[in-house]
Amino acid sequence: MNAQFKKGVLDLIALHVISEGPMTTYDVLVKLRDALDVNENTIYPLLRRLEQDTLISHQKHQGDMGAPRKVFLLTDAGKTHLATLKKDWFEFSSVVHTILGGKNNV
Amino acid sequence: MSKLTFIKELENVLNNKDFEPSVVNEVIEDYTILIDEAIERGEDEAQFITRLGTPKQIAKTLQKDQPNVIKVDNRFIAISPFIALIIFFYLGFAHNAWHPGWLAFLLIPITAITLETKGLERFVALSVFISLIGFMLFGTYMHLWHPMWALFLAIPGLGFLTSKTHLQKAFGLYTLFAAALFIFIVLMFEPAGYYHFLILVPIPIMGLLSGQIEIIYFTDTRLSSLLWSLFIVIGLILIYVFIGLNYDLWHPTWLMFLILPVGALLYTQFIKKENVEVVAYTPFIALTIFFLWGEYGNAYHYSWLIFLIIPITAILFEKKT
Repeated sequence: MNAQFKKGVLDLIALHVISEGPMTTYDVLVKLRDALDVNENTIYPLLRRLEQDTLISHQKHQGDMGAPRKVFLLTDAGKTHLATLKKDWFEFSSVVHTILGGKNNV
Repeated sequence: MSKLTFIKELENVLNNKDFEPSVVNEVIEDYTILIDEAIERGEDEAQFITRLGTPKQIAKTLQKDQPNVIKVDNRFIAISPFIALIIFFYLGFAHNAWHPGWLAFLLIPITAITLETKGLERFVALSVFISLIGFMLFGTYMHLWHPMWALFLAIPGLGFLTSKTHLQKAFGLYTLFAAALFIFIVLMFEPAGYYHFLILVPIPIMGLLSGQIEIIYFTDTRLSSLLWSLFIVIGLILIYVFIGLNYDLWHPTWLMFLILPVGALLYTQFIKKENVEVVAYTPFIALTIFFLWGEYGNAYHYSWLIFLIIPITAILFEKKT
């Protein structure tokens, strides 16, 4: 997939993935890697930015072994932002789809 | 790359990029946990770390995503050109001191260096400007161009002090001591002849032998390059001292030393056929025109404008990315 497309929707996908349940950095990384084949060095900085923007927050979770891990959750602001992004995305993709003439013109 | 090496390198890169210590600690902790979790889940350590990107790439991405806070330090750097201009115009119009009032412009790099560098590195970088200010003030107002040109030896002297080996640090101390002693001897005793210059002779030799002064291999062997370099450096110093002592032209004859960096640039561009940006030449051209025009055209009040060729050239010849 075009790298610019991926960049444009990364926030949306990451927020959506985290909305599915508490996720560690590794969980998010694996999901995005498998789904979008994104550059893995972008995931951690992305999560930091989303947290700085108060769209996600973290809790420390002590696993069976090792140091406690951060698990990320959507904040209320994050849930609202995700809903807006989804709405924008569906509108946008619908317009693009219409302009390109649907599947027949692919 | 192993986890340990990666984490250590990342920490170094983040510290060098001036991230807040608390941010560095947090990032390091997060990456440690991330790698541990990946290994636990069956990922190959080396492959996973490779896919995470290099520490430099990570730092660059993190920097881009940092909140856009303008640090107070940056504000000082940003306003320093305006303060310098005010001081320059004040000294020029109110006291007719266009020269050496232009030294006010050195406030710009001095502010940036003071706020952005640390420790001995700060003193080494500042020594260039402090030496120039001292040389210009002593020269202009007390006509002490000689021996105050030896102030410039503080630059390699402090440079040696930042070296890793004790021997090079000792060279640094010697250079500073020799420069101070040389100035003291000339000021106190005004000796005739050239014998007192002997205390300075070891400095370029030490610099070349220790590798602190880079040798350009413009001949077939390292030895002949070294000898030629020594010949050129010592030759230039002797010519400068000869002209200074016999014709009292310490200033602006010192500009002849610009032959060394300009020669290195020309060599890199035309002999080694490596890319040298046009803008790299402009500080030397500007400096030479500034002093010759200012000194002999009595035009320091507007010769400083020639420095604008540096940003103009940079804009005109900027490579499209």
